Amino acid sequence: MSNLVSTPQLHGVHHTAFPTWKPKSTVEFYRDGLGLKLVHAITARGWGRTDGHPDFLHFFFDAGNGAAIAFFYYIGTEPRPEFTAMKGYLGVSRHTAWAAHSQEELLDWRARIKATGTKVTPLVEHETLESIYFIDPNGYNLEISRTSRPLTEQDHRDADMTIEAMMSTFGDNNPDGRTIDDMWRLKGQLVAQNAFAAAAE
Amino acid sequence: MPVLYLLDVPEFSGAVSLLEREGAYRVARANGYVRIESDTDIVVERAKTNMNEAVWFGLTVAGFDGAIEEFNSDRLRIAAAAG
Repeated sequence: MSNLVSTPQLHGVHHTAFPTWKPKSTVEFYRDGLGLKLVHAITARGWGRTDGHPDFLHFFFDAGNGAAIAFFYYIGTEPRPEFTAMKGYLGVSRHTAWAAHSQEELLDWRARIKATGTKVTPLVEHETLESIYFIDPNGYNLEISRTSRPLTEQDHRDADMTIEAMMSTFGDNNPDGRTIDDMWRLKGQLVAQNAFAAAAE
Repeated sequence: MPVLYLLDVPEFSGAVSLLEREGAYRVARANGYVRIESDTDIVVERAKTNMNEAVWFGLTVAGFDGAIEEFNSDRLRIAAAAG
C-alpha cells in the first residue's frame, strides 16, 4: 500500500439490502412479527432513467446500533427465486447475522420468532459464539448471535496462520485439487515453526 | 509419528484435558497451542470430550502431521503419514 493513502475506518453496518417479491409478508414479518421499527421508505418512478428500470419501493427496518435491513420491491417484475430462496449450504452461506448481548436476550428472540409462527433452531454453540437460525418469508437466512467469549490476540494470530495456509494450499479455486487435510498439514507446520520453535529459541 | 496441534482455548479444552488425562501422549504447550505427539495413532473420542458437533468438526484447526484416518461425529484418529 502506498504511504500516501490513509487507512480509513469502517463503523459497523449502515444497511444491507435485498430484493423482495413479497412486500406485504416482509413488512408483516419484520415490523409486526420481529418488532423492528420501520424507519424509512422510498418510492420512485424507475431510477429516473428510461432504460426499463422498474418503478420500486425501498424500505428500511431498524436492526439496532444504527444498522438497518432494507428491501427493494420492483413493481411488476417476476419473482426470481434464485435470488431469494437459495437452497442448500450455498443458500445458508449467504446470511445476515444480528447481535444479541446475552444468552437471555437470545432466548427471548427465539420465543419471539416462534410466536410469529416461524421455525427457529435451538441455540447452536460454535467456537466463540452462540446462534439461532431462521428464515424470513422471502427465503433469506437470518441468524442472531451472541459472543460467548471475546476474541483475543491469540485468535487473531491463529487466523493469520490459517489464512496463510489457506492461500498457499488453495490459491483461487483450488487448481491443484488439494484437500483440507493438505491445508491442516501446512497449518501444523506453521504452528510448529511460529509457536513451538519460536518458544524454544 | 503423528502429531496433533490444538488451540489452547476454552472451546477445545475438553479434548486437551482428555488427551492429557489419558497419559498415552507427549503433551507440550507453547504460545497458546498444545502439541500432542504419539508413537501410535492419536485417537480422540468425542463422547469423552463434552464437545458438540459444531465445535468438534473444527478441532483440527491448528493442524496436524500424519494422516487423518477417521474423522466422524464419534472419533478422530490420526496415524503416521503413509510411507
